Amino acid sequence: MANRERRADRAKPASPRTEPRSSTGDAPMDRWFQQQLSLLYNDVVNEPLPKEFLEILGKIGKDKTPS
Amino acid sequence: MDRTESMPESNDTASFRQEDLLACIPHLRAYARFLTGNRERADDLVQDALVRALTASHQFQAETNLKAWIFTILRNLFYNEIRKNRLKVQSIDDIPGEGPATPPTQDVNLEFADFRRAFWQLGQSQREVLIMVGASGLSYEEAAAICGCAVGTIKSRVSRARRELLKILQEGNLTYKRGDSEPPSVAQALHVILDRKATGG
Repeated sequence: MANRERRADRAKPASPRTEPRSSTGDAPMDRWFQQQLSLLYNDVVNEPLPKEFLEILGKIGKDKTPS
Repeated sequence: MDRTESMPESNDTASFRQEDLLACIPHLRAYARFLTGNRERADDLVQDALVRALTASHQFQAETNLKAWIFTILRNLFYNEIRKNRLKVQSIDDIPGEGPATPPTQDVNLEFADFRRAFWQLGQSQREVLIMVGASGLSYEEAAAICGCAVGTIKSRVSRARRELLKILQEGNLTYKRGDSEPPSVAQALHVILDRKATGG
């Protein structure tokens, strides 16, 4: 899976709809925790997509095109 | 491996758009990465999940969350693989590199590097809930549906995982040091574990 051809432009950084409740009762700590977790996650989300994924979708798209 | 070879003809009654599925792929990759701890295995899993989603697209209900649906598919594939092959649930071979791409300051970079290391010291199920609820944007309810458990179970797992991670950071129990330029090898990590056992730690 070394080939990467396209940035995942469609991927938007995720923001949770329901934030975990504070387990520490410390709002700044909760915000910091959330921020670190988002950084970790978005590092992967923003990686370029391997071409194999696009090929799978492309193949399906082609199958659906009327001949 | 061409995973589309074994695919039946595409289903014209698909109730989601291809572009919606495309938009889910980066999130699916991230979920798989943090679930498996291994880049290649995660991407193989994503490919399998995509094929499965496309062949079963008629089963998707339009009013539900596509991301949650395909996360469920991926998770089921992952645990089926574990059961079938008795594969390692957790790998330390693919701990991502140091810090974010553009750290604002050196201190923040080091802080994030520590957070990342502490995160990878959590168990697979703790990483999974933190990623689902804390980062991927899924609600507790959606995460519970994906994991097939009660909402309260997810809440307590998230809470425990947060406490555990903060404890690792606060007590400085990081297995890997800040100065490590490369992720530790399996052998290095085993040495750490064996050393701890030998010293009763």
